[in-house]
Amino acid sequence: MKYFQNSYAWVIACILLVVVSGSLEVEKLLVPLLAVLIVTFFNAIYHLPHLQYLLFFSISVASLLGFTETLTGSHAESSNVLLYGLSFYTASMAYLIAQNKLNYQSVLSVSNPLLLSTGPIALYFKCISYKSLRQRIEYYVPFIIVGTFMFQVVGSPLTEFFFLIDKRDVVSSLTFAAIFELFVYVNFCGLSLLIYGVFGVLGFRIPLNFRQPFSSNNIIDFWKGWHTSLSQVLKVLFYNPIRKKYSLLIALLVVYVASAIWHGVTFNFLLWGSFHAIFFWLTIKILKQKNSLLPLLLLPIIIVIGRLIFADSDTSRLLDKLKFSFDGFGVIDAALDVPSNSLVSLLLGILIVACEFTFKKSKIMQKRNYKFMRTPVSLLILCTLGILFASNVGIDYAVYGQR
Amino acid sequence: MLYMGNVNRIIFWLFLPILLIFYIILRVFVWQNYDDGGRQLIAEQHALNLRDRDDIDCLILGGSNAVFSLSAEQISQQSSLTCYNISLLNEGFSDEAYFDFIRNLPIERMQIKTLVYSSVYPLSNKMFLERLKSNQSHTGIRGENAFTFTGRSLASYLNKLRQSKPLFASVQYPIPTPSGDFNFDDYDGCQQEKIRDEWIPVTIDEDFKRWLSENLLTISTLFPNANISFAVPSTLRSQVSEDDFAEFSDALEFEVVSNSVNYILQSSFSDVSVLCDGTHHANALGREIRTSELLDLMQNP
Repeated sequence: MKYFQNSYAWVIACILLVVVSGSLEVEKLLVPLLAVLIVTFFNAIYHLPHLQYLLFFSISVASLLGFTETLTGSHAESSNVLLYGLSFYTASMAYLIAQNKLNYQSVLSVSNPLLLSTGPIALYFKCISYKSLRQRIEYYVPFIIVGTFMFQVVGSPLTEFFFLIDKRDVVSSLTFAAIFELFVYVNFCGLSLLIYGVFGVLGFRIPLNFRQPFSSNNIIDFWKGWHTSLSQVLKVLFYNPIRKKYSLLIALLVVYVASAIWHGVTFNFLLWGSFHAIFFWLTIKILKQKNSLLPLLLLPIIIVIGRLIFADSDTSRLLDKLKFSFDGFGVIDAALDVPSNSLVSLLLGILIVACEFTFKKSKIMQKRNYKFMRTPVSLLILCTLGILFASNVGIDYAVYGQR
Repeated sequence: MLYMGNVNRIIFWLFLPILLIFYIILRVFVWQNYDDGGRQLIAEQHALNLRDRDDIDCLILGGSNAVFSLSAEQISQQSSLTCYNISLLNEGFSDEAYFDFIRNLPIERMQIKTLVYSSVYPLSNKMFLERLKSNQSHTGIRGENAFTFTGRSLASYLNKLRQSKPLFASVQYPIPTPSGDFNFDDYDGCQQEKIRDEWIPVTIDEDFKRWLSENLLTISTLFPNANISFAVPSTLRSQVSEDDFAEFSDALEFEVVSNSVNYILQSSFSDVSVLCDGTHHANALGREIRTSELLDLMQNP
């Protein structure tokens, strides 16, 4: 029965992907399935030691050898369709092996083309068809609306600001980093919510990849809401085993450097991993001193500087940016010169983040599952804004769905 | 609170579907009122112009940069060549559409001795990615006139309505001159105040190399006797440092030359006073300057 359900989800995902992408690249959809099947077969027979780490870092090797692009968030789709979804299905398999859960039943869910197109990592794939279709529509369609709004109406027009990546002065680089953070958030979170909603309506529950990361008081809280499926994989594969033997700082450094290498083997990612590990550790130390204000003040600085480092794999340009040289405020004029749709999107994006942060203590925010955007009145507002401002300005692509 | 559940249900099951249907109707309406800005007529005029010409031995190929900023007439006047400008706006939207357009022109292709291909795609990563997308969807020379769920926003139409402008009329480009050049006398769409300088050169990766070599190969197959030059068009280029641009240009030259094609790098425009409505769209004066430089670079490589 489970095979049938997973096959049904797999086929529906293929159809949706082909309809959306407008092209049928069979190898793109079948290679992950075959790869997962082969690994599952060998794992079942030989129980290869440390296979999970080999799998997790296979995307790093592919990136190092130039077969895939680094995942800075800029548009850089890998031309090699045979490596489609490699980062996601290998991470899923690594997690399942570590949990002793990789079996033939999970093959179809791990290689589901829709999950591979943008995540999340398939930590679980539960059938919820016992809920009526009406119940599923009422609960999951709002996720689709919120996701579409974030991805299409807010996200895509923000790509018009990408020219700022070339500027090296402090005002420009921080402006770019802040806007880019917003873009990555609405793009990745939007698609994750969209996929979550689509699978929910089809009768499957997958991990909710984002949990209002900006409803946070410090960087630890923030990471609890950002790309949660990857965080869970990192925790199981790296944090738990390392922490048993080594100090917290070492464990955090290993986790973040592993995460960095998963995104790409370049200087900026190694720097980004170390940067976040140290600030994560520092935040824990400060919180232990019963000081919650300083971590709150540090939060936006860590997020923006972290994104500045993450976004730029051009080392010389990044090092120039990290000198933080002041060159006036001319960038503001240049940034305001983008199409008006992009300015509206920027405002909407800031509004979403501001709502998440400002009302984080209210009842509706407590579960951190975007309920504040899923109420019927909020949906009505989102749909109206969507109809008014949905446009073809900017580039549509999945930040995390490129390899 | 007693009636809140009902209100929510009405919003969810009635108002939201109504909004969705309204949006789909809007997109269908926009799709049905698609206006190509005169692109089809321009392409047909090129065919008409060339029907009675058997003296052409030089061609200008490319996109809007060549439409606005290069003059076949000027080249013909200032050299021994007899030139014609068959560049199209948006470079015909997709390579397939553009080369099909060229193939179908009534032109003696074996007779072409000199050919300049001026493409702006190396200068804009964003435009290059859009080109790949258009190539994938086989967009024709009239542009993307298939039904899409996104397009111009409703807000922009409302803004037009507020300004009492016609809703679906887009910029109309003039019919080309007998030498295929852009007719500035029939065009009043130059808006220098709207010019934004935001060029970021492409990353010369496998995708770009493939695109370049395929296009250069197609051109050399279509015009086997032509001495082909690939021109990097003049733009403002204030966004890129000179060192970075020089490095990029060297890498691009290597790729172009390795395809047995001459490489011509045109200098940047001095300022917006020589431009029409974009950093790569010269006005009549800018066109004269760029064409002179191109001719000079062709004659004295």
